[in-house]
Amino acid sequence: MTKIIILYCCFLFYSVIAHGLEETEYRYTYIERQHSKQEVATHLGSIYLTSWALYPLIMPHAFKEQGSWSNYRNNFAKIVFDQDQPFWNWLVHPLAGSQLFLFYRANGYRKENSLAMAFISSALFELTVEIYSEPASIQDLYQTPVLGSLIGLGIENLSLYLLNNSNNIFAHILGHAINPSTLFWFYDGKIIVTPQINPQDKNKSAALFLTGEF
Amino acid sequence: MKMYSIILLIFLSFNVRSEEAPIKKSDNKWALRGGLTLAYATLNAEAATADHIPSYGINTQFSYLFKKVEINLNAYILLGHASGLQYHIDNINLFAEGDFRSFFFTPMIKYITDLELKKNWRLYLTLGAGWGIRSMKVLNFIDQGKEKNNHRINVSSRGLIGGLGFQEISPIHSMGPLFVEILGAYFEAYQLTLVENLNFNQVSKRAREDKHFHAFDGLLMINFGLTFL
Repeated sequence: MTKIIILYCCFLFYSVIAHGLEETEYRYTYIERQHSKQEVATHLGSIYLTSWALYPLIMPHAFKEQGSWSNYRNNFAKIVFDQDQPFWNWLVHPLAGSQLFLFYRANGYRKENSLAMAFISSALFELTVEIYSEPASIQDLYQTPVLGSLIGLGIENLSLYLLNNSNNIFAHILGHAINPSTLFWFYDGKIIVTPQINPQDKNKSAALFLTGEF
Repeated sequence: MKMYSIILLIFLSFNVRSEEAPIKKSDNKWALRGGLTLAYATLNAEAATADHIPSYGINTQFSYLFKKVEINLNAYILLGHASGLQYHIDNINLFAEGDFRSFFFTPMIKYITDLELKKNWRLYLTLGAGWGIRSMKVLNFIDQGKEKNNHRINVSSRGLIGGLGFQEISPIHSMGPLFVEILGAYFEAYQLTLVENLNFNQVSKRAREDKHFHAFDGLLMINFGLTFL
């Protein structure tokens, strides 16, 4: 009798949930959470190592022609106004900053914390990586995280709009293309967690299915 | 048993919803603002040449608030068109004419008064130091018997900047409180650099000299925008 009541209650509950699920639209969003010091260090460290790996690939000319450990020593702790083209100062660096901001957002950091993390990552790159070929620049130190975060906020809103409000496949592709962090495992803004028990297994093994949609 | 499993599966299934962390007291301390800038300046060069030009651009402000005093790291990008400016570097006379672009970085202190223009719009006074660089195309010139083109003159300058403005006071920054301010600046040039544009993303330094002349005689800026964070 007890089993029947439980089953009935479950069925009722399922009916309500199922009805709700029919109308539920899974949406791309950002889930903000607290981070441990270890997580913060891991995220900063991974971006730092990535920047060391990408720098010679993105700027091969500067790396080969102007880069040396002697320059590294000379440029250490030196901050100047660079003479670079707008292509770098007003396009590449702010866009890189926006993707840094979105990377940290995808990892669950609040907006202001994402800005702070982008600031730290950018400063680490400018002050300890890029000095291999040129001194750190005031424009880059400021524009990368600050202008980058402003652009990142705009990209975040636009990509969520494209991903949530359009059934057009190209809009979805564009939404991911401008905000590629939504494609990686660390982005938990759209996910369904499904617990399951294997009825065939004598040990009643259980599993959690993490389903992401792209 | 299978039925139990299915029911359990459905019962325990859940979806992760959007969730924002609760607002903390410190949320209103940090601020990220941005907006548009309109400016008018007397652009000075060497040999007593100058041009009076309007320009436009964007501003960004990153700040931290201590009760009524706010520490700001601001930056301004200005674009415009100037002509008739003359420079002398490395024994070459250069004439700058065409589009220019400027970048200013200005750490500033802002004091927010209790005076309200209208409800929730507070008057503030702001003052700080600034460093900037202005880059402008130069006309073709002769150097060591050869005609050179595709060069730019970069003028590094530093000075003081200050003014007043009004900002909307809002309980949370996500409401996007607005601001409008008028700033005046005085900058003196301290270095000229002649660079060659190799292509769209590379430059080569041709010459650099320390110089001292007024970069701006009164740069007037009107900034307006909103708080994003």
